Amino acid sequence: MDLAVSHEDSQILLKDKNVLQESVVDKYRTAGQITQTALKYLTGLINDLYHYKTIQRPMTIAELCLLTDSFMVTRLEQFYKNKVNERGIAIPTTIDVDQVSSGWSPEVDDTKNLLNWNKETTSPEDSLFSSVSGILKAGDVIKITLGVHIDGYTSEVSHTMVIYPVAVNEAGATVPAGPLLDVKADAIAATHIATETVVALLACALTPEKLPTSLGNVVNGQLIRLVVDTIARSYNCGVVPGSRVRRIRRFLAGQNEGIVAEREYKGVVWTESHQEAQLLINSDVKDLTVATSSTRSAPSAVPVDDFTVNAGEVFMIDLKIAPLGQVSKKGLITLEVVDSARGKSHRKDELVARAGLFVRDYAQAHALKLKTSRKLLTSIDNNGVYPFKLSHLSPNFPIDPTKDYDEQISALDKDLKSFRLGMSEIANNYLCVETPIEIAKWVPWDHVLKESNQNGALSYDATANLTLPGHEVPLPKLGIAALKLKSLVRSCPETIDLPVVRECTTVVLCDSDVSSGERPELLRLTGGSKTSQPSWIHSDYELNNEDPTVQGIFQLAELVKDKRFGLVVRETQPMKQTVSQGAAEETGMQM
Amino acid sequence: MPSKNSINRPKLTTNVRSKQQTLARKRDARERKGHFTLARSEEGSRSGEAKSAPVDLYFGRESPATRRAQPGRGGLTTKTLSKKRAKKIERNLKYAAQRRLLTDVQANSEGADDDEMSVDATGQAKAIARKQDIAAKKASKNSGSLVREALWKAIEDAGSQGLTLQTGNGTTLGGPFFP
Amino acid sequence: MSGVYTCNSCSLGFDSSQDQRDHMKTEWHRYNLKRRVAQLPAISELVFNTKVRALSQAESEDDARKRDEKKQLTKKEIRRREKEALLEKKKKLLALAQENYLKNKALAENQAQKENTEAEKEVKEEQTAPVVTEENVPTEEAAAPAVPDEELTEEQLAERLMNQKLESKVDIPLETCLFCTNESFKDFETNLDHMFKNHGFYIPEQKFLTDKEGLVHYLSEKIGLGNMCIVCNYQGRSLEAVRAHMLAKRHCKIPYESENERLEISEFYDFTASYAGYAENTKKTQEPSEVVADDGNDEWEDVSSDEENAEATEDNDEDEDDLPDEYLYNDGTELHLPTGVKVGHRSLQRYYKQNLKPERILTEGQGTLVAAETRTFLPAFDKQKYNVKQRAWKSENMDKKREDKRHAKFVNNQPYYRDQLLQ
Repeated sequence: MDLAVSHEDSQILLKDKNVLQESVVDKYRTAGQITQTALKYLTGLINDLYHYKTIQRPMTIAELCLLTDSFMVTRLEQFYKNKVNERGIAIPTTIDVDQVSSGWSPEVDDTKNLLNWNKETTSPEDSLFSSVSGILKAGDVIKITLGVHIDGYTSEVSHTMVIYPVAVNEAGATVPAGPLLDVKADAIAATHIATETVVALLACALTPEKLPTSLGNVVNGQLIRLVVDTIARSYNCGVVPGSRVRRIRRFLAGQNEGIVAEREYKGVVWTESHQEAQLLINSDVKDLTVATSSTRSAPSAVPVDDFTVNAGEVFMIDLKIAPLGQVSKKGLITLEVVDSARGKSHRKDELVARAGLFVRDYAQAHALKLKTSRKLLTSIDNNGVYPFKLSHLSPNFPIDPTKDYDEQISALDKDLKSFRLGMSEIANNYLCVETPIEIAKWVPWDHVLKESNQNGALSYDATANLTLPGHEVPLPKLGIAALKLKSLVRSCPETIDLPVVRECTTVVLCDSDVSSGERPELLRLTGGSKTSQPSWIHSDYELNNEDPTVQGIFQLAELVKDKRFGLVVRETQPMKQTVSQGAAEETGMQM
Repeated sequence: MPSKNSINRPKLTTNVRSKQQTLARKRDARERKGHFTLARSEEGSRSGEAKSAPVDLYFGRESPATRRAQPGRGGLTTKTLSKKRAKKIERNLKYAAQRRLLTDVQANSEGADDDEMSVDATGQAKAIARKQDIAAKKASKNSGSLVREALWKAIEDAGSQGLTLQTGNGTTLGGPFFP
Repeated sequence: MSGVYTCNSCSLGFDSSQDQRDHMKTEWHRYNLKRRVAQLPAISELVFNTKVRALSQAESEDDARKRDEKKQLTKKEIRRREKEALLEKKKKLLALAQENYLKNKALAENQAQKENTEAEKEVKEEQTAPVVTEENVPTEEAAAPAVPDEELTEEQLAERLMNQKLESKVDIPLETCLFCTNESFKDFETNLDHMFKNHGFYIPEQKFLTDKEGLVHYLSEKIGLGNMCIVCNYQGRSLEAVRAHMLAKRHCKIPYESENERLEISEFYDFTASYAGYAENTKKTQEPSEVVADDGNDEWEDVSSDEENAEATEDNDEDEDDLPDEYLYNDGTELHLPTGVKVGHRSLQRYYKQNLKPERILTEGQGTLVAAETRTFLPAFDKQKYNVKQRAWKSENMDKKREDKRHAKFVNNQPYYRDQLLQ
């Protein structure tokens, strides 16, 4: 790595700029408002398309993503213009359907390709077909993820929606035909409750004396993991690897996880190794540490649960939960990276797609040969440090939905062609890393135990997707490396896809000096009751009140409802569509 | 002796090659005779111990190498043990027993807290200790299997299902509207 | 004259052989031998001695000086010097003529151009003569061989030369072609047109030209009076010769490349308009508009080699470099031109030619990522460490070889070895 930042500069960038001040909170709040508005815009579009059916023209996922990205960029234009150097999309809109866990954000020219590539492998009855065709169908669970940043202060959001079959009620309004009763409902319930509980837990970090005694006396990583795992288990669900509750800092909002080994990582992550440790918890195996010290990065970059949540920090709660109602055995929930290559080794039901999101790896340097690539790299470098889509680099972006839509799309198409040519060279030299499309898979434990060999730990997967430092080996106790696990998942006939539900929210822990009121408060930038209301579902499971942890969870919910003595949680509201200059409309909303 | 610049100076390569060939021939011969030592990992290996044909003969032990080379021949050997040699061995054994007795007494008097420093840890004893270590390590290497066993147990254990409860009314979120 | 021993060449007789031998060794005898070979009669010793004395005296006079000059100055060198001196003289004369012409012109303008040309010439003559006397001193040597038989002072000589020139002067009117013999046109413009079309006589920078007739008149005087080529300053013997030279060599243009050439005709131009335009230009656009490309400073290179400069060099004929000097300064390594262009010295050429990667300036986001990065990559190749290692390997190899050698010494150490060559 030929780049270096002086010690003083790094102190400023990592420490001083992350101190919560009025101006910083204001930037966070504005970013949160834009995110909320964009989420509202997209959910409105999807409702209009599939529920109210007021938009006749069918729109694919790619188009929805493009429209929402354009919306975010045009909204961003109105704020902090010429006041900050960098602002933009922190995570391009992704719309993941059912088992697709993350990263589904095709370009507009991908729609035709996807149908062509998956011609033989995917049938219209398949649950993957919604992703492939880009047209949703009733019963689909879709996860919308998007985010913006202003001067590096990032707000991200994920929300899960259900596409319902529609009915008309007595009042003549279009309503869902009924609640979702599927196993997916369990996961939606679990994710919603877990997210709200973790938000309340983080609020308790500001006032530790209010933390229920059954949960201990300090908010730390172990407690967060315990609470989330308990809720997931209560609803017969499992936490999907890649979920995390982590501190975010300026420009370090988890977008580079797996690429940059981030100094002073603070957060709870869920990986396969945690599922393994969970199983071994009652056995006589003593050493249950899941993270190994990574040889290639500093020890502080390895995510471990030994941390305490402090006031003045910003956290991102990103939970992905998969229901286990359709499986009878115990199994491992893992992620499979979707490959863009097609060949004879591909299974019948395997999805073929190429990643739409890329992240620049600034540690790599290489002199590119093609002029197109060099030009593209310059525009990537100017774009910022966050993930981007190729279409964002086009001069025809953002598109204006009020003007001639088809013409803009075709212009964008033309730009994308040359971008892809340049991108292949850039990606081949590791200057950019593509954010993988991941599919949640379930593989029974007995298959893993039967098949594994001893040398698994030594094998190296050149195609390994992004792993956190210290968590390179997915099953360290069994000694199964990523490559081995990949082949296990592929070889097992019992492997099934799991639908995934995802909720993500960004919260700022404001101490009393920056909070709007007297008391310290938790400012919830994204999500909440205005934009991220849960869909209508019914799950057969419920929380067991006898469990002390669950009791603590109930107490937390009470605390949030209590306005006078409880926890103060304020939510950032979406801007009104008509108001262009967003005067911060923000009301104290209680959970 | 030819000088360094002599025309007749023997060439290095040919010499080296002939030397290697000779060594190889000798090694072959030894192997054919069965004098080849066992690998250290093999069961009968007495690596680290003092090698002595007379001692073997005295104790009636057959050398492991001969046993491997000529499996059917039993303890047949061409080695002989002279009477004088036998006497010497006998005498040495006696001294060794005396020494051991002495060190035992010393160890007892010192509280037997430092095994490492015992004089008796001769080459033979050291080798035995090392072998035991290796065996222990081999056992611990199978901790993977220990994990595996624990995992099998956890999978088959129906009781560890957790807190899932299906008796209540269940959970309902949201309502009949599109959020 | 007695004795058996004689010398035939000197016709002498000797008593003893010793005497004869002594005589044979003398210079006189050798001289007479040479004379005899040349079939000349022998000379007596007395005559020989007087001759020798006279010669040695003459030699001792200009011995050292003459020998030195003769040896060091080759004929070619002498000729070259002479030529140079002549050229110098001619140039001076021409400068004088030019000066006088300008003076006269000013005078004539003041006196409303009443006087006729002859009166002008007289004035010129009167003014020229004293100046020439002052300035003709260094041309003495060159002038001397031209009129070796007459004893004239330098003043008189110059006067005579001038007179000769004036006598042979041919007035070329403005309507007549400068190069063709006796080709006249009805007016000045058609003449210029003819010269441009037929001879390529192009007047540069016509935009700023204020005195076209003056320029052409000056040139015609240069040809007619000075018999000089306008391009290469070739001095012809006559007008016909110089015209033939110009036509043959295609020297029918006004040289406008070097500083001196430009200065020579700068009286007829007025560039003040261009300065005003320059000032506006620099105010409006920071783009450098021109680059000096004069041969006097040709060891300067253009430093900021951008595309804009490349463009700028192409259209530099409009703006001139005769800008006030205060904008142009030299800080030792670079020459700062008023346009903002920096010109580097040729000695630093290798550094300007380097195509270094521009230093990357990280944005705050990139800086944050780099600061937060803890990944360790393979260490960069350290040449020093590698050299140390290489030395270690080398010594290892040497040790091994030495061991082998020592070992091989005793490989064939047989008790009864017999060397084959010693049989």
